Amino acid sequence: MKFNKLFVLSSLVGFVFLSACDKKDDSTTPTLPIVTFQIDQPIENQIFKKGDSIKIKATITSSANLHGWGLAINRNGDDSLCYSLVNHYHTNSYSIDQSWINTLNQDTSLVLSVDAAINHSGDVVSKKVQLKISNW
Amino acid sequence: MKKTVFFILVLNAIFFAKSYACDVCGCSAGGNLMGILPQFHNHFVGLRFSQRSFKTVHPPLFSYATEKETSVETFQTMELFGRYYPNPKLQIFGFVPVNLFSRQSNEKTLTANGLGDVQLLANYVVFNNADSLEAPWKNTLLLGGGIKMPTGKVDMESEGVLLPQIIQLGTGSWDWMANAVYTLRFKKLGMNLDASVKLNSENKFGYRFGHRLSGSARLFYWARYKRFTFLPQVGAFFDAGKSDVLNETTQIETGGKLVLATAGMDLYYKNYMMGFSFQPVVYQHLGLNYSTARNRFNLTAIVLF
Repeated sequence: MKFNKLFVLSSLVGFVFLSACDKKDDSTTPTLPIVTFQIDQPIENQIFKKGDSIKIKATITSSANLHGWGLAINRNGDDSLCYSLVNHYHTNSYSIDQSWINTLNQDTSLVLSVDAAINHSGDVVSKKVQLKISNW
Repeated sequence: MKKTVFFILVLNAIFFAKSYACDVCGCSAGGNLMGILPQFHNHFVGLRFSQRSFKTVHPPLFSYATEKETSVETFQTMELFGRYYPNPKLQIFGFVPVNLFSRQSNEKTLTANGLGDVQLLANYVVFNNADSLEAPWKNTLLLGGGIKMPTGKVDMESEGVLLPQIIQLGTGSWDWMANAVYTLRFKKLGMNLDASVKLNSENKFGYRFGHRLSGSARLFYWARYKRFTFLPQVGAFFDAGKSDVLNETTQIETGGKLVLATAGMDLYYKNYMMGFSFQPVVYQHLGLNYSTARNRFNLTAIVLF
């Protein structure tokens, strides 16, 4: 009787410990959320001059919480970064209203990337808009 | 035999691992040490305060993010708790926390305060020879389990934006706990071993905090001076959490392991007890090392009846 009691008890204690040491990985195949971009401004291939304010108005919506959004304007060709902005907060919808004053003298083409971070593991979804700088 | 002889014949200590896993930084490892409680008075009600904090360096979201984003998360909890014995073999515990959580980052400070998640726990006294006059070695084993209810708000916002999961007042989920407590005592010296498992479920946002395992080992000594009883104690606390899962995606920057040393003292006078403990960090690997836990402290005051 005493043995049975001890056996049951040790089994219970063992369960408590072993259940926490379960090697089974509870991670599952990542399911990335569906992210939708709507970029109202600027429009594709819009032309700007030096000193122009490039307004960026966009909405990002997602089927799950996102971790943040970012904006980057790079020069096509050498990929140099002209402008960037990062905003880090967690929600499933972002409304972006920003602007950047163009400082470029020479004619070139740029690409605006509107980015959404799905997680902190580097998964990012983006929508890009081509821009042109023409001072003529 | 005088009643005072039985003063600490049976002691128990229970950890309640509270998951405040950070959906950004992964500061999920964090236990809440109750302390050593006397069993010779059947019931008690008390208050306890704990503070835990983490410093987090957030991984950059985008390749062009140049500014290093850091934050400090602070979790302060004042908890009303009590123990009730319906019969000598069973203990019922209840915990009603009030939380003040904050995240101070480069840009702003987010705070949340209010009722947290209420917990109920029952322990079965498997064996206990603390009342034995013959046995020089006193043993007590308790096994139990309980639930954590989603009574704390989980949808608090700041400026129209949902606060990060980590500083929400509750987890929004029904969680299950199992624990085992073993106490061995010889004369005035004792040892307490404790283990707790917490299994978490998913909340309405599809977020599930990682399952948790906590354990502790402590040595204590009973000393009397006039009408006061002192219970100094030292030991170690271990806490491990699996990564959180959001919409079936493992949040790899969450979870981790934490080891704390524990040093504290309880003071008993009549039916009152006051205690404090300090827990310096000994080892940690939290949130892919993006997070760093800071030293903790706990204060407890109870009335036995």
